[in-house]
Parts: sequence; C-alpha cells; structure tokens
Amino acid sequence: MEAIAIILHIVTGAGVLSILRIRRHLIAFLSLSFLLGIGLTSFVPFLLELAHININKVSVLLSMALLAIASAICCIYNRRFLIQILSINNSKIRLYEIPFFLITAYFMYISIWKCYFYPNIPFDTLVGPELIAKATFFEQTLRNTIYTDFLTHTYPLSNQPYYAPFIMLMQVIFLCLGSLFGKIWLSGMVLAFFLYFYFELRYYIHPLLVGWLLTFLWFMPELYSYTYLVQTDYPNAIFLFIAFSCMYRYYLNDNPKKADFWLSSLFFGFASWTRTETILFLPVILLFLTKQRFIIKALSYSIIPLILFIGWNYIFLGFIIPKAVPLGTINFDFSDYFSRGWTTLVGTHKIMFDIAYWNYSFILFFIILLVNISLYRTKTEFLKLSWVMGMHIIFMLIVLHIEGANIPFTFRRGFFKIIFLSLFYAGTSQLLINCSKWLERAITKYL
Amino acid sequence: MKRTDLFQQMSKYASLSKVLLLLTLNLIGIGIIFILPKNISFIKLKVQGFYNTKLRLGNDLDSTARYNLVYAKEAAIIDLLDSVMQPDDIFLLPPQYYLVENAYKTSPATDPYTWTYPSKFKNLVMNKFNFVEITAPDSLLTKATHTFLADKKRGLRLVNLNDYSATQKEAIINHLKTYKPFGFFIPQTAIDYLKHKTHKQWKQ
Repeated sequence: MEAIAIILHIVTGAGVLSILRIRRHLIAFLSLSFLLGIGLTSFVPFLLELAHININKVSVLLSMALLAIASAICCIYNRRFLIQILSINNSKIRLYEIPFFLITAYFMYISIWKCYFYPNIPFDTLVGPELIAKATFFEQTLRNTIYTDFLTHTYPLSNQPYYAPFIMLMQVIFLCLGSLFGKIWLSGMVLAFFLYFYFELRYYIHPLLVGWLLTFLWFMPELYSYTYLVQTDYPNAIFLFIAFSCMYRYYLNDNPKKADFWLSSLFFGFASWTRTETILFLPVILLFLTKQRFIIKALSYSIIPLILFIGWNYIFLGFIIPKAVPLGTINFDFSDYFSRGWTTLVGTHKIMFDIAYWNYSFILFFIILLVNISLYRTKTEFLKLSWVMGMHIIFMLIVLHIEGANIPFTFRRGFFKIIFLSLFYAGTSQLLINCSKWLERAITKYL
Repeated sequence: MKRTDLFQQMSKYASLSKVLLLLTLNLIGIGIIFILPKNISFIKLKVQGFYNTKLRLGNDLDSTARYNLVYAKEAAIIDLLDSVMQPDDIFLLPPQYYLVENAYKTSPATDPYTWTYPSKFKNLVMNKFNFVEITAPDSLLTKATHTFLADKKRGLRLVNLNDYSATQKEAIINHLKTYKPFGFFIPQTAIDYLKHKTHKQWKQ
C-alpha cells in the first residue's frame, strides 16, 4: 500500500508541474513531483474533516486516487511537455556520477529500514503529532477526544499537539493506508530531496563538485538522525529549501517565469504547514523580489503561506476545535538586551560550529562562503548571503522573544534550514561556477 | 578508413577517456571525504552499527516484537493493567516524582518513568482502559480503582484501591497529591534530583 501511495504522490505532483511547465532533469522532475504530491496530499484528511466525511482507509484512498486522476488528466493534456521531460536527453546520467548515487543508497537503506522497522521514538512526536494521528485514526475524525476532552484537562500540557499539522496528517494518511508505524513517507521525502538537490545544483556547477558537496551533507550525524526520526524540522527544511531554490531561478531568469514564483510560494506554504514559525522567515525570501512592483509581488507571494498559517493556527485551532494553549507567547523583555543578545549569538555559533553535530560539513560550507564573498562581491552573492544571515538573525530574535524557544533544541534542529541554504549558497557560488568551468577546460585540454 | 570515421572514432575515445578520468577523480575525492577522521568514525560507529543491528535482528520479527524493541517495559505495564482492569475501572496515573523518590534505582540508571507523562501514557494506552491524572478533581480521583504504589523494598506494586477502606483510599490519594506529577525526561535529571532531594508539598 505504501508503494501505491508513493506512485499516487508522484502522479499528483507531476500533473501540477506539467501545468506550470516546470522543466527539470527527469529524476529531479520525479523527485519534485513526489514532494509536491506529498504536500498536496497532506490536505486530504483536513478537507475530509471539513466536508464531515469520516477519515478512514476508504475515504483517504479514494480522495488520493481522485486527486491523482485529476492530475493524470492534466498530464494527458500536457503530454507533449511530459514527453520532452521523459526524453533521453533529459534523463542522462554519466558514469562518473554513479558513486554519489551509491553513497546515497548506502545511507538511505538504513533510513528506510529504520522508518519501516521501528515505532516512533522522539518525545515531541509521541506527545504531539502521533498522539493526534492515532486518535484521528481510531475515531475517524480530527475533532477527536484528544483535542476535545483530554488536552483540555491534562497536566502538564505542552504545545506539541498544536504543532503545524503536516507530519500529523501524513501519519494519519499512512496509518489509514495500513502502514504499521506510518513514518515511511519521511524516507521518501529525504530521498526525493537529495535527488532534487543534486540535480538542482548540477544545473549551476559541475556534477563532480555537486557530488562532493552532497556527500559532505550525508556526513552530518545530527542531520542523518532526523532522516529516520519523525520530527517537524527535516520536512520543514526540505520544503523551505525548494521554495528558496525556485525563487532563485525566478530571480536569475531574464524573463522571470511566473511558474517558479508560484511554485516557490506553494512550497513556502507547505513549509508553514509543517512548522508554524516558518511564517517569520517570509521577509528573508522576499528579499529577492527587489525589482519592479515589489509590494504586489510580495503580497501575492505571501497569500498561500498566510492562508495556511492562519487557517490552521487561528481558524481550525480555536474555532473548530478547542485550543488549550496559546500559540507561542511573545515576550517584550528588553532588559539586558545586548548582553542576552550576545549570549544568544555565542550560543548559536557554538551549535553551528560544533563538529560533533555536523562533522566538517558546515565548516566547509562556511569557508566556501567566506572565500566567495571575498572574491566576488556581486549583488546576487550578497542577496544569497542575506538569506543565510537573515535566517540566523530571525532565529536569534525567536530565541530572544518567544517563550519556550531555546538554542539547544529549537535552534539546533531549526539550523537544518540554514545548513541547506548555506550549501545552496556554496553550490551556486561564483567561486564554484568558475571552478566548474576551469575543471571542464582543464580536462578538455588534457585530453 | 574514411577521414570522418576516424574523427568520430577519436572523439569517441576522447569522450570515454574524459568520463573515465572524471570517474577516477570522483572516486579519489569521495575517498578523501570518507577517510577524514570524523567521517570514518561516523561510518564505523553509527551507520555500520545500524547495518550490524539490522543483520542481527533479521527480517522475521513481527510487529509486536518490533514494537517491543523500543517499548517493551511500557507494553508490559499496559498489558498488565489491561489484563486486570474491567471496562468500568479507572487507573490512577501516579506522579513521576513519587515513583522516582520511592522506587527509582540509580544504578544502573534507567528511564525515570517517562511513561507517566500523561500525553505519552495516553498515546500508549489509547482506548484500552480509562485513566485519571493526579491533578484531576477529587470527584474523579475517588472513582479510581487501580494505581501503582511504590517503596524501596518491594518496588512497584499494582493495587486495587477498592480493596482499601474509603479512609485509606483517601489517604493514598492525598499522599500522591503531595508529589509533582512530572519533571524528568532523562535519567541524569532524576539522579541529580535524588542526590539533593528535598520533598516539598506540591501545588498546581
């Protein structure tokens, strides 16, 4: 049943991508289809609830099939475009790229096995998304007794059950489809993300360099753990990364494609649907909209993320089901602000450069970033740098001003977002673009 | 051989040589990344450790066995409760501080009764039986039929509260109410607490 779900996700995503005419390498296209499909399918239980239909195997499977059929019709309508995507020229992989895929298989095998074999372990997941997902599965409704009876009386009460709903909804879907522990969708997301990331960077630099950069990404112990532990942070970082990568294409293109813009907005919406505080990073991505009609573009971009943010946090929670804890209390304490700010800065840097968490990888990305910015001080490079730094600054403000946010947990796992962006920065840097050209020239000359 | 054929043949060899050269370069690069000290220890200790675990566990474990690899203790507690409780019975979830203070062994340090976190307990129990927390109103607490009592000598004991007189039951509940319901997530915090223990009356 999990295999059927994966195929349905790919078909769902492919239909939308064919409407938007998003051109990518075949493998990147399929990966992006899967990630888009999984994002769209996560709304199925939510929409069933709004339509007062019981959430069970039949209704979930039927809804997913309907979604896939609608997308398949779009695929048939845009078949010429899809034939181009499926063409041999667009699906070539060279022999020297194979080692990276073998490394990915080596790491992914364990991730898939652990997702399939073990029940959920993280405390935050057990007392939050999984608790709600199980109750939804047994009671066939999101308006279940956990929300209506249990959480309104229990002590101590934490905010995990009120987390943004993506992983809870995915657990609901896979439990309904008969998956024992549900979480196999996470492995699918991680694999699709790595493949998408590889081909996205290959668009800018030599495949050899991409393979090495992403091999470093696999060697991050902390990041690797979350390829099989279900938490909100990894899926959130994946969605956010795709939003940024599409926005970058939109920015670079002489004739910006609206499809890239809307796809970016949709994935930013998915990211907000996965972690609530993502909405605070909206100004960072909007930095790339500096050309004409900034306000209209910024407002258009924000529509989907804001609808999803408000829809879950203020309409579903609060109006449709009771909400026992408020959404993160903001504190306006400015006493000892500089000293606390300095402590936060030092604390976040300790996490960022702790090789026990990230091995050498982040240090390498940081070195590339420093060398690149000292050699190539173009507007684009500065804007990309502002993504990485902007995320860091907003995280520091979150730690300083939102009750419960902290460096050891909130920032450490939230740092995944910054890692992907700093790697994207390195992979699209002028430094590595020039290195790629040099490598190509050197090899041609040698032969 | 025609001149054009010769050129085609040469460019084919050049292209093949280029691919082989890049493959060699790639393997050298990846090899260097692998042998960096931290990376090699990550592979040996963590990833290869998982491969060994997978080999040891094999492919024949059923769903219960797989569940028990992580939640054996919790499953045993819940199965025990499920076997003795009737549909109308209510389990009184004891406070974690009570269990840690009275029945926790620091050597070897184990999980400090994290199953008593109400949301986690609810996740594990779901609809198997009813339970009530120590912070519930007295009107609910007096309906409780079972709980765990703890002491250093006998450890944890599952008791039927209906076997006690009304006064004794009230005394047990009142005693449990003096403990904070929850506060330890990892063994070290429980060990540190027991070293400097000061039991104070707790109020919500």
